[in-house]
Amino acid sequence: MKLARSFLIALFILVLTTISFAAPVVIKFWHVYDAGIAKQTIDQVVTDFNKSHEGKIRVEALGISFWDYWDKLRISIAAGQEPDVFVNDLGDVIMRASSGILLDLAPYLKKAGTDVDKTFFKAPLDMCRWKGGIYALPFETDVRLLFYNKDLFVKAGLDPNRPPKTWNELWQYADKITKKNAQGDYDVLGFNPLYAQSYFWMYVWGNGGDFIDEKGNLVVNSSIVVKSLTEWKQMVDRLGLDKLQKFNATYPLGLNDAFINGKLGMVIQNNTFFSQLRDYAPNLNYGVVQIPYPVKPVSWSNGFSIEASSRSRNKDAAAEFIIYLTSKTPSYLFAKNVSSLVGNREAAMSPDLMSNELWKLSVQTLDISRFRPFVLEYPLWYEDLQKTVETVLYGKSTPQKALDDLQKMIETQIQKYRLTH
Amino acid sequence: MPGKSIRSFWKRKSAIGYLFAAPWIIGLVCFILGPIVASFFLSFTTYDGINPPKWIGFMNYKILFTLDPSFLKALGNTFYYMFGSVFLKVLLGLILAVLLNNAGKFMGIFRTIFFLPVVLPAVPVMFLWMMLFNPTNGLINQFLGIFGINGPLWLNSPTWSKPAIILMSLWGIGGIIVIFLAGLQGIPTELYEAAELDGANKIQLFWKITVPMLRPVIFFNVVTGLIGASQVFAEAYIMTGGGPLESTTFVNLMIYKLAFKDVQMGYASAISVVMFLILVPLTIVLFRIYRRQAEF
Repeated sequence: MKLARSFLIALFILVLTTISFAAPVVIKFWHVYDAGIAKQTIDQVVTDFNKSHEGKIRVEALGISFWDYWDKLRISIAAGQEPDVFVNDLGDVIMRASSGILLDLAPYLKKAGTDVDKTFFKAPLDMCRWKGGIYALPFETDVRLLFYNKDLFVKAGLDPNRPPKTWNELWQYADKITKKNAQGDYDVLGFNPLYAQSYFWMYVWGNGGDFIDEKGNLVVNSSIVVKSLTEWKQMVDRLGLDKLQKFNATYPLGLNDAFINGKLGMVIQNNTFFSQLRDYAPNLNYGVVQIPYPVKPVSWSNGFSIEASSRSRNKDAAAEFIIYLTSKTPSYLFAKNVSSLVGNREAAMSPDLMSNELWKLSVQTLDISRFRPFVLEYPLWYEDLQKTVETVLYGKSTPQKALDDLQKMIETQIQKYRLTH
Repeated sequence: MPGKSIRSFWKRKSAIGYLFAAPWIIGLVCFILGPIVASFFLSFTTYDGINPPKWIGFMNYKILFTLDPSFLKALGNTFYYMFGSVFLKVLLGLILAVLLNNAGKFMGIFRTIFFLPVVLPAVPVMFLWMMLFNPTNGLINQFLGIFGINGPLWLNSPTWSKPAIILMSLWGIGGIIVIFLAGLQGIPTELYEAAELDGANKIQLFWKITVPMLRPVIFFNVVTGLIGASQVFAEAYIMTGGGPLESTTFVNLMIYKLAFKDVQMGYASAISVVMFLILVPLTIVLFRIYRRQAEF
């Protein structure tokens, strides 16, 4: 009797454990790919993962519209109910890493035998590093390139197969393309330094400048930045700030984009701009090259990271899914279907993708491209840099004084951070 | 005993009223009073939305008043918009309401037409206004061009961006017109008849009868308008991003950016509290004046 009872108990425990072992670990994954081919591709990747991990891990993916995503994710984190794995901004991984919300993936990568330096492009991967750990993996990234209108080149008597290489050439060509109307406004503009993705910080980098000094401090009033801003103002003044503003307001980005409408000879844009051109201006005859440079070639990147919550109850499964998602095959599938530059180097370098000229150019540009440095005490410093540039362009201050003022502001912000943290 | 008091509570008629108002009361407590209390508390902390808030006393306020000049600028922008838009809306609303009041049987149609924009969703309307404000192809500058006026850059000009947003706020004038119309209906016709018999002309009727009789309604519109306008946010968020030269950085936009982009919830809460402390006395003073006007 006693034996029978213990046998029954043992059987019961056995059944219970098999059931609980059979039930897969469920992890939640939130992303921004809520429609179209991007959603289909992510769904397929998740389905493949679930199939190959049947009975062990099940990923429940949720695509949320880009415009609602950030608030929803932020609120879920504040409530302590964030998903196990989520897409986020590659530009400020450190902000979250320092707050302790992110899981350090380095031990899991090591265990999985992933050589991160070989697997991922350096610049986006560096954005995921903090204090020796790896707190995210780069899923998608981008580069800025120069798109030029070949027909406008021909009209201006320029060789459409010889795009500008240096910033001087850019202005020489631009002046030939520019046309004014009877009122003196720009009808066609060769190049507009204040339009689309043309940002002052890229010009500083192109001049060989930097915003982080050798001690790792944010410095915006070094002589090279001042020189760059002086040149930047000269460029704008030569064309007239008022006239450029009028041009910008006349051609807001999107369907009324000046380049799409053939009103702009050259424009600095994101590498994904080609899809807008394909949809809105299928007959536009254009070429793409790296951004002309004053001193050295450079581009600017940002992108999406994949991160896991440090509060996840299934850290192993979450890390395994992230490593899978950013591995070669899923990344390749995403790159091929969505035409988005993936962080996985091996996937991006696949021969069939590299046979596309624009793709090849984007991948090559990643080597010279940079991210805006992240400053924990002052994450939005670049927005204030833009405001400073604006102040100078409007003639409210001189480059030296305005940048000195910004430097003081940086010190204030750092002081503010220290006082409150 | 408690059972009895509960029963007597339900027997009272007011209980049913509270029951029907419950959804609103719950909403008020959870989504308005709760957050007000929470932001008051958070203003004394450092809070990143991830880790628990850390108490830092009055530090946020100290920083706000000693290290942050941008707040005063945002406050200036907000007051500029508040008084500009309310002045224009009330003035134009009154004129239009008086005209509509004399439109006879067409009044209903016109009232509907003027009220219609109020119910349209804000974001598409803003995109529409961005097209209207386009300095080259926009209807507004093309209209000005007929008179030989070279229109400004509107949203892209540090001088004209706030007037542009004020002009845009006229879109929602229908609400004010409807309130004025209701007020106008309440003015006894005998007053006009008597004045006409005494030989008063239309303009005299307007200034000597309509305006004084409508004074409480005018003040009501001014008071509610100012309070509403202090919340200005979406226009700047969607159309200008706060620029150019921070000319459209209103307090609410600043709070939003600090709280959700800079993740300084505590500091953003401190600004909300200061804004609250500015608006509450203002509202009390305005309502005092309003009540005195209404009693006259």
